[in-house]
Amino acid sequence: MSLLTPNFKHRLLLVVGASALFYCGTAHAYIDPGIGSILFQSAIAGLITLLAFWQRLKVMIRQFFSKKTTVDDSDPKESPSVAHEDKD
Amino acid sequence: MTPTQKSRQAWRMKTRTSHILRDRGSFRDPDGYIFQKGGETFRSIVNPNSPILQTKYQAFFQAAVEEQLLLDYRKVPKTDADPADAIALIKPISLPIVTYPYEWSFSQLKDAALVTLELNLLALSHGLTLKDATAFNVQLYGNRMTFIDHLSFEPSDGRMPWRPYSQFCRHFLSPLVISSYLDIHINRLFRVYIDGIPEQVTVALLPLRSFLNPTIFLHIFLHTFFIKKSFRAGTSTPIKQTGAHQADLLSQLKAATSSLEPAKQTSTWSNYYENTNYNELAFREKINVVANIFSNERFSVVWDIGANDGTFSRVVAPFSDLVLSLDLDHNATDGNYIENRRLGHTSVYPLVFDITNPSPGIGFANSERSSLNWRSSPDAILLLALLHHLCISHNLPFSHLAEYFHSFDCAVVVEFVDREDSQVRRLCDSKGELADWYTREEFERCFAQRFRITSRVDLSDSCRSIYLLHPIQN
Repeated sequence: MSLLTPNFKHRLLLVVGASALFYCGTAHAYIDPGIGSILFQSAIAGLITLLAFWQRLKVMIRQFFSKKTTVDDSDPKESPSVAHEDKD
Repeated sequence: MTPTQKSRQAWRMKTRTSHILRDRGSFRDPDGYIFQKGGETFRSIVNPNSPILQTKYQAFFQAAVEEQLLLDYRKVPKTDADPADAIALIKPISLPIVTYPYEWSFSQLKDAALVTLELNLLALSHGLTLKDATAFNVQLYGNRMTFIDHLSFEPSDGRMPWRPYSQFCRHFLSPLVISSYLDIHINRLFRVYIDGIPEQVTVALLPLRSFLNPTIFLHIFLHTFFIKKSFRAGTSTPIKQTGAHQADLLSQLKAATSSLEPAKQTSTWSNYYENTNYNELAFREKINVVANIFSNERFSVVWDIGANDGTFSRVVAPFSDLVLSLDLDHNATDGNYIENRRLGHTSVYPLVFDITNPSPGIGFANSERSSLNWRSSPDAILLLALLHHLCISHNLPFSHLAEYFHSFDCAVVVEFVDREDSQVRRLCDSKGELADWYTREEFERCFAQRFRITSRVDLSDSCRSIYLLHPIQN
């Protein structure tokens, strides 16, 4: 009784096998793989700021037209999965 | 007793003495480590500059504990019996059980991700940030996910880059996105990839349509492209601060994570109790019989194996300190977790667990992340409507099962379903095997070699019986 569907299983095996080949191909053992992630963040820094600005603008516009105080639904004490359930 | 059981008992005996036993999985952080002494768990702090030791950050730690994002703790004085390299010690609240991401359902991993992001956002408002974002830093405590690593913080001016970004993507975003687009069982890959699902694997697994989602395109596809590029370039670049705020990136990741839902899949077990072949009366009787057994003989730790949506775990919960509600089905476990949160049950811990392939010891020396029976020792095992599946679908002989359950040296409450039962007949028919050996006589004969049959109750209008078994000492 397998939990993984055969299609997904084949794909998974292929990908795991292929990624193993990838890792053996290049031996940059002294380079922190996290450096690419840091470089990437430098590249997208402007975009992140722009998106955040756009989000704030959207909230402001919504607030202006609805004239209602928005309730922050990000209460950390309430699990999002449960909060979602309760709304249903 | 198996060699594993023997060495686990020896380890437990050691932890109760005044010996200092460093946790085998606590070696990645140079600022401190977890150790056990006298049966209690402590965290030693080696770095004198750790934020938790500084007065100016105490408001953050207090707020994080109050908001139930961070596990509560207290500072304890260091004595000569404590590790020599420790500058200070803290004693976190003891977790009833340590669980790992490959044992969590979708909602548990999603909540763990959101707790990590929330906590980091709170830390940023106090001049701190996370230095790592591993899923192993979050634990199921009560009915919520809680961050447990008190040394994971470092001072920050709040500007990007956010150092744990890549780790967050591997540990949280990748498995959640794959679960959303492909298959909800993907958390199991954590067993193979202990440091999260590699970016290349995620990109290769995801369908092309997923890259139309801007979040996935940005944080997974483009991100992986940059990682590959820098890897090929083979040079290290000094970290440059940018003008962007970490809080903006974290808020975006939080919004993206919140919107993820598990892939729609109908599992065999998700609607189990709607498709049973016995009537409401027999079901009520079964609840009463189980509740009677557990109220008469109180067990501290119960493993409910094949718990499905946790109905019977919640029946025995009032009579126990901890119930591990174990099932191989992610959908059922997910529903179980959500239901416990809704009902406010804090002693039922739903976990994904396949009895035919239980969580092994993995990581360095196979002991960095230990097996489930190393982490928890049950006083009773509840096996309802499970045995016939193990025997007929998995060909597991009664003798193997009796030997395995006897190795826990605890009481076993087991439901036996006769071969005349329509579900058992269906199982045999679908397998094309008669499984002649699956009889009540054979079950009682094999289990009686290792257990004393304390009681047997036959459920009316069904072919089902509930047995209470106690182990015979070797």
